[in-house]
Amino acid sequence: MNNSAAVVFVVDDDPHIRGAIQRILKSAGLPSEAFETPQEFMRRKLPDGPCCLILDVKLSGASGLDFQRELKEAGIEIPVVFLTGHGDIPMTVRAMKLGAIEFLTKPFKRDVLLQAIKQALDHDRANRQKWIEIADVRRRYDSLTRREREVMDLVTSGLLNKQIASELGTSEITVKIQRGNAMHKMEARSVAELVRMSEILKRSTTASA
Amino acid sequence: MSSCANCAKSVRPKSIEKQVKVPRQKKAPQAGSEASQLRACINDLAGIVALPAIWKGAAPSEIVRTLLDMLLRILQLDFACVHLKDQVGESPSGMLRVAQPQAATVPAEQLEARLKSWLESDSQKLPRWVDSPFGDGRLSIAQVPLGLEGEIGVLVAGSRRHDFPARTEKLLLNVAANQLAIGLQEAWLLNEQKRVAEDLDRRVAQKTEELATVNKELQNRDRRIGRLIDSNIIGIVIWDLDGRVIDANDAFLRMVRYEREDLLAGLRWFDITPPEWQEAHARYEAEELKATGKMQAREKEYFRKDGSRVPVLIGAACFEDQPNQGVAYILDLSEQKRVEEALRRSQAYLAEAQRLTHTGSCAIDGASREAAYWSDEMFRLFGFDPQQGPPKWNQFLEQIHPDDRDKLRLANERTFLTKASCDVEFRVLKRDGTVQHIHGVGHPVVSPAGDLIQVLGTMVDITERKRADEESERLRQAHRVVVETASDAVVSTDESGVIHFANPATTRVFGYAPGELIGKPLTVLMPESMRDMHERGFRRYLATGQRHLNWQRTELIGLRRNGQEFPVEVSFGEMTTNGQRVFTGFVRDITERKRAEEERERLRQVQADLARVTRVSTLGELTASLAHEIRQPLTAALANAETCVDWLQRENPNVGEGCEAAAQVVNDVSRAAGIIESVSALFKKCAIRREPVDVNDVIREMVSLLRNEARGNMVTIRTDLAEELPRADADRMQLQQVLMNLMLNGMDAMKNVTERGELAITSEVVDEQLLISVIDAGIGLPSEHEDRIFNAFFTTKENGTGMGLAICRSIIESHGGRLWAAANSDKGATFRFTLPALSPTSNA
Repeated sequence: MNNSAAVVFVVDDDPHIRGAIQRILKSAGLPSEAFETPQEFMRRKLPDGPCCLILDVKLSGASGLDFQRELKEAGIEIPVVFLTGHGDIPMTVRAMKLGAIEFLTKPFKRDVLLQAIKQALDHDRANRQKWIEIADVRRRYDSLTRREREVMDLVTSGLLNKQIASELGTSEITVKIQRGNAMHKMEARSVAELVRMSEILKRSTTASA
Repeated sequence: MSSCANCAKSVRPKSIEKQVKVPRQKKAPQAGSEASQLRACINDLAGIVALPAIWKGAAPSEIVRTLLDMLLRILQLDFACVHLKDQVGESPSGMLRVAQPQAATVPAEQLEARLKSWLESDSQKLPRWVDSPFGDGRLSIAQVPLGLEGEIGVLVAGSRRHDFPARTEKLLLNVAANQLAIGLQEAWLLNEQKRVAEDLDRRVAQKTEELATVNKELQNRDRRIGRLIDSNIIGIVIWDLDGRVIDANDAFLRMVRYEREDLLAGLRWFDITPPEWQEAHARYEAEELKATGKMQAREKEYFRKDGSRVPVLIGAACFEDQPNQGVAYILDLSEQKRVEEALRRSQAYLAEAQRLTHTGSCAIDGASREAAYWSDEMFRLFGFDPQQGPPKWNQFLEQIHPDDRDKLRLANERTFLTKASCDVEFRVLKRDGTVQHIHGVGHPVVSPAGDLIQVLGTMVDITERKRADEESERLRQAHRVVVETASDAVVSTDESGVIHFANPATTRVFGYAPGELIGKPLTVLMPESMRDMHERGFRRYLATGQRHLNWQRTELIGLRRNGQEFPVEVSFGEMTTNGQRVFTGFVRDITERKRAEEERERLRQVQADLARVTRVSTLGELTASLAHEIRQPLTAALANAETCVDWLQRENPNVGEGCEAAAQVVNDVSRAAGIIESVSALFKKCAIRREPVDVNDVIREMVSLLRNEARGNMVTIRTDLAEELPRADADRMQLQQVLMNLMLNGMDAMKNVTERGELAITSEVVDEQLLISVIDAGIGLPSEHEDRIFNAFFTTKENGTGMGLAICRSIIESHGGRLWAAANSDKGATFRFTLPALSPTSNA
């Protein structure tokens, strides 16, 4: 785990709490930035590396839960760890549904907080990896010609060369050449890998749609 | 014989044709020798002379026919005929026979008519020659009278031969005529004799029959008389004036129940006659019998053998030859008497019935139109004297109420004119001014000829009924007005649940016009979901009398015509009229009431909410924010302390960071202590505004403030306040807070207790201190922790902060008093607090 790249953001209107959390993070070797209000936090451009947000539910001015929803709606996928003075079940359920990693009740134990942060950062890291991979596969796929894409689609749907040739109205030998080109451009070492890439493409398409 | 009779009646051509079968034996008269002619003649003559032997017993027509046929044959005639002057018996008036060839060419009627005109005019003047009716020249005619001077008739023969008749032929004709006359006379004679004999026979037979009828008649009469005598109906007695019964039939004996032996032993009619009748007999009957020989039928009595009396009708007559004896006919009247008695009884019953029902009957003569008969009750009804007889029509009318006279007159007139029944109600004005209502019915009795014989009338005093009717009508009207104008829907059904009445308000409540509902099942007025339950409940009620719901003011759901459901309050009533059970529902639309109730409930809820808000904002909010305020530094302190430990526990402890964190812990904890200090300071600051307070006043204030809250929780608040309660030096608002808190707690404690709770607040003076108690009947205190309830953050309530009682205690203690709680012996808890009392002097 490359911790140096990770950043933990803290939003709490109580400076003492902010300070105490940052001290814990510092002792755990995690870089952190603290903000008094969500607005301040929103002005900060998010880093490319993994990050997470520790958010107080009860903020002066706005509810932490509402802010979580705003982030979601703005398409900002940052894992959130909630802090609350007096949490109840409906509140917890709502936060979890919107993708909160953990819901901690004040006063909390240091270990518990750090565990939640680790979980949040891992989640964010995996998420980023996924997007990088998708972008990579997409880039390679974009480099294929129209016919190569067709051949790739038919190969990944399980057809033999002969069948593909008849499907596309071309010769088997042409299909073989185009298939080879597609494999090469997609940097796929096997048909199985090509199928996995095809799945990633499909998933990202449906996800973005 | 019969065919001859036919011919005789009228000589028809067809008959002639048939009869004339005689062939011509000789073609033409031959100039044969004289001798042979003579021989032929003699032969013919012999034939003719032999005829009478053949004729013996034959009818005259037969005689004529055979003769004519023979003449036609032997004389070769063209025709031959006989005309008889007088008809005797069945003899024909004449007969014509024609030779065959002529018959074919000439209609016989023509020839006959011709001959007839000759013969009838004058047979003597027949021409010697005539033009042949057969159209072939002339005929020579010969005629011979029948009888010595032609008195019988004439025989005519005609032939085309010029020499006809020859001498022999004349002779033959004469002989034939003689033979015919003799034959006919003989036949006639024979006929006459036969006729006389037959006539005699007939008369003898007639006479015999008459005799038989007479005999039969006589026999019948005898039998009838015998039957009469032996019959069971009429008793017959032969008697004498000395009082003996000489003979009597069984019927009489049965009547008086004597045996025949008694009769033979010498039964005396005088002995079985009761004394009063003996006297009557001696006085009248004997005289009457002697004088006239008869006794008019009369009723009297006889003793039976058993001594009882039998009523009889008796008539008697003396024998002509023996004036001392006679016969008596006696009828048993006991059955008739019994019927009469029964009739008299039934008449008595009728009179009684009339008296009881105030029904009079009368008969009015069809012609005079005056009363012919009035029953006793009629006299009583109309106040007339029975001794004077029925009143005249005009007298009768005077009794009638003046306003009704015309009506009655009209009805009367109509009945007599139209002969139809009448039915009329009228009033009688009594002398004392009271009015009597009479219902009169008249039935005309019409003769078969269509004349009105009389009118039979019945008069019923319906005053009572009328009064009852009017009363019930008045009640009915009153009910109707109530029902019609009621704002509630009134709907009646029969046992089958079918609506047969609905008042106008039904339209307003259910949206149906009253008429629209008639005949529909009651269930149309209820929602689908209730119908089944209603049907079941109703059926069970009809079967067992068990009601499935309260019949008074039950809240149900109604269904309007437009399908809208709405709350109704229904009361049911049941009554039985004419054996029919009628169920009536009074349905009140309580939509408005419900809405008002809901509105009240909502208001109450708002009040309760307000009260809660007040409480929360005064104490709850404070405590909640207090908890938050304290939790924040605690959280920071914990985090910093742990960080500190982390820095220091490392292999190479970072003392700088550790100190930094530790310093922060000190900071955080100080902050928490500061918050708590400031809360206490807040209370201390409040205590500055102390003044003499009448605690009873504060209690009353809070009671009235929480009255609604209490009502909503089904709690009654009772106060028991000490008079002359000393004042306390206190902050009025803080006291209010404490009291409110304790009272609300008390009510909350009783919230889940089903029965109606009571919250009591008392004030008293104990040991120169005020003692205020708030006593509830709720769930009581948690065992073991009676005093922990005053600790901050201790709560047994879902929404509680656990600060209320802590603050209360802190307030009371700041006033120098004490607050504690104790469980009640039966149920619930009592919270008490004390306050130092101000001395009366400092009051002023």
